[in-house]
Amino acid sequence: MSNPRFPKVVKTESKPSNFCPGCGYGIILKVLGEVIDEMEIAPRTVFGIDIGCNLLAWDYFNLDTAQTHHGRVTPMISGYKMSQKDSVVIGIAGDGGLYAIGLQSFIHTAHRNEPVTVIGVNNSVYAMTGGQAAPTTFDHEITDTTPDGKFTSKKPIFGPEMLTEFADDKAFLARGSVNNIPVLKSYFKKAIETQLAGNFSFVEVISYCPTNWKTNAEATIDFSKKLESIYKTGIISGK
Amino acid sequence: MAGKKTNNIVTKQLLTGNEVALKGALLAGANFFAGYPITPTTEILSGWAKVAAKDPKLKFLQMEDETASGFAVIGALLAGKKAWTATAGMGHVLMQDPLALAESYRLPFVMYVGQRGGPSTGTVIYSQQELTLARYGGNGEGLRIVYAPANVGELYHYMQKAFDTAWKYRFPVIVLGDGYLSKTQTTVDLSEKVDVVKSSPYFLNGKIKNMRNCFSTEDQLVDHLGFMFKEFAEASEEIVESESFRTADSEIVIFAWGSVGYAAKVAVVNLRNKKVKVGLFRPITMRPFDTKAAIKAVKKAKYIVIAESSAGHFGRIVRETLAQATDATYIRLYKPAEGITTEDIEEKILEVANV
Amino acid sequence: MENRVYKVLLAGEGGQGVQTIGHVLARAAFEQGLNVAYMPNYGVEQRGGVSLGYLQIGTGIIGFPKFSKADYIVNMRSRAIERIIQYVDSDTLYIYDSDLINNSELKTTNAQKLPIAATSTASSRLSPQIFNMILTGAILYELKVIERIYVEKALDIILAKKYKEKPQLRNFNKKALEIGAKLAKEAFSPVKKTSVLDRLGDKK
Repeated sequence: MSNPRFPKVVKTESKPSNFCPGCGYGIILKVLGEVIDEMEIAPRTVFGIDIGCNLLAWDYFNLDTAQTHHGRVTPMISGYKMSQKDSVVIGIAGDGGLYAIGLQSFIHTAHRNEPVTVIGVNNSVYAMTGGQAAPTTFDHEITDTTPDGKFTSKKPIFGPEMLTEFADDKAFLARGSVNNIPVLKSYFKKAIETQLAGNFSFVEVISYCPTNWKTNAEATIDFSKKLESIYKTGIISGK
Repeated sequence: MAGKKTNNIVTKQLLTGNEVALKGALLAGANFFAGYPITPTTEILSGWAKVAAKDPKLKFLQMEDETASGFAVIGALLAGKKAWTATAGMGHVLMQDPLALAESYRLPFVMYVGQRGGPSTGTVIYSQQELTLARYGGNGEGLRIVYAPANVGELYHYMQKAFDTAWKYRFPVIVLGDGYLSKTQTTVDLSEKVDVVKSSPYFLNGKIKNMRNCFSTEDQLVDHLGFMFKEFAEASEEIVESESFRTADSEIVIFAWGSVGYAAKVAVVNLRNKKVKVGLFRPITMRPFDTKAAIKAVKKAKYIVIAESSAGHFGRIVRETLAQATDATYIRLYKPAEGITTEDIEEKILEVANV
Repeated sequence: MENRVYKVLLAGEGGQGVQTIGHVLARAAFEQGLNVAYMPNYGVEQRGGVSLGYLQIGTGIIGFPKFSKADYIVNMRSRAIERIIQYVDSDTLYIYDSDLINNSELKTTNAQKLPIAATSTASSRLSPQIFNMILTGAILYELKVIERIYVEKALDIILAKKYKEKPQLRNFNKKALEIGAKLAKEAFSPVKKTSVLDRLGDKK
């Protein structure tokens, strides 16, 4: 019972989706699935997820998956990888899990050059709890805890850029977007290749959240393009 | 529950527990809030952000996590602000780190907790499984005060009182609610105003304080603790609260607290109408615990029915408290992470009564 | 007069407007001076998933925000059927959107059933999103304890912002409530009433 349009590693029983209509995770996970299929790494891939909307992917893949506490994906997959060197470990977290509560571990994982792959989903808000401000919220952005755009920081946190201060030269740091699937896919592929070569890799992805942005389809794409103007896509380190 | 009436609040309003907790804190003079979003108490964080956006006297920090939130609160307390926070579940676990410091430093740390299912992320919904954490979390001797409101009316009262108790006696105070209380919209009378003492800064007030929470020898810590035990015991006499409802002639006594406590009270009224001799002991302070009143409540008891939405957090306290005081049979109505309705309790009591 | 608490369980999917019905009825009951407790209940998904609302209104004391058995159930989604069957007993009136839930899916639900073609009626006569207001009209017809005028007041309060943007919505909602009540009334029409009364006679 396989659907030719979905990657083999995606459980067909996972549909209908747990994600909101218009969520970027649908694209991100499918692209990741395609890469896993094409690289034929499913038998040795382990998937780690955080708290927040990514936790809805807990039974998305036919992969061993562990959901952890908020911000603890990077130490968990580091511990796993060290214990099973032949595995491929992929962790997903959102703006809170990587840049707020998980920031300390995120930086240290890169600093130790752990051979793991981290995917960070950036939609500039804490979506699952109802759209509160995130470290990726831009100046004067209106969110659940920045009414009228008050209390925002002038500069948001730029994840891949920040890691250049801590990461190894051989690490791969990039930012993609759900608006450009072929490029995003190439980043995921390069990230896993980097892990296989023994180095840290991180891909941040600009993603959609129409539910908390309170946008219709067209406005959702517009808002994501606005995020892309702030957060430049491209390879930040490790060509 | 006596108090002054205020004239400028529309007295009866339709509000959720979270909204009432926020209003109670503001009425008590709360002026600093640091926190992190977590269901089911996120509305307190965002509600505070909205009032703080309009009132520069109210300070607001959305922190990077709960641990940081607790330490920001501590900083604000040292500066003399009536600071507080709100959390739940795993956030409550993380708060034990700063709470341990607040215990050691005798800081008036006020926190609302909306209990949810555990362990780990559990559910975002409801439980009574964080009782032990609230009473004895951290690595100390549980020198904190825990109030357990049974409904929104009590929540409004004890949220205010928490600030008074905290600043009067200088122990952390936790108002231990739950996800149902937090999220249920119901009618609440907001006319009551509790007298709350003023706050004052620890630092930059003319007298230098050098504070440490680390001691070199056992003796030093033992002295520090000894002083705290003494003050906690004295404060307890004034702070402890409970309700004994229709227990004087009861052969069956229900022990319940928080939201389940109120369900039990209504169940007792219904059962008494059916001529069942049942009563309720409901602690209001979970710490310190009203041992004297609990023992008195079971004088005639043949059966003690412990009803809680956990697998024994409360039951263990009850059994320890009543160890020498009763020969009654314990019946457990334990529903971990699940609600216990008035019908559930009535059904159980009728079962026990017909034994 | 006896003090009663009416227990209404609302069920549907996240995004359908279950919580809107609950908030509106809670506000209406409050404005009318009745005791009220309304508790939303759902999991972590912002959309999809089963969304429930526990509404209690009346002159009696409400002891706990949840209840064991419902006097009235309103269901807008098949996926909620299994989750809410525990709240059904012989006195429950089970109102459901018959366009979204097949009669056959409720075969094993032992309650008096009231099918309301809310979605199709909304789509053909008003606007599809307003189907939850048609169901609200049906609930009010059966529940009787809340007066329609307070529901309209509640809508004015809760939808103030939306009414400002789209003033025609106010009339739409008013019509939807009327239509819902009419559908509920017609479901117990003289032709059908006999059989329903027979069944009620059996149970009571």
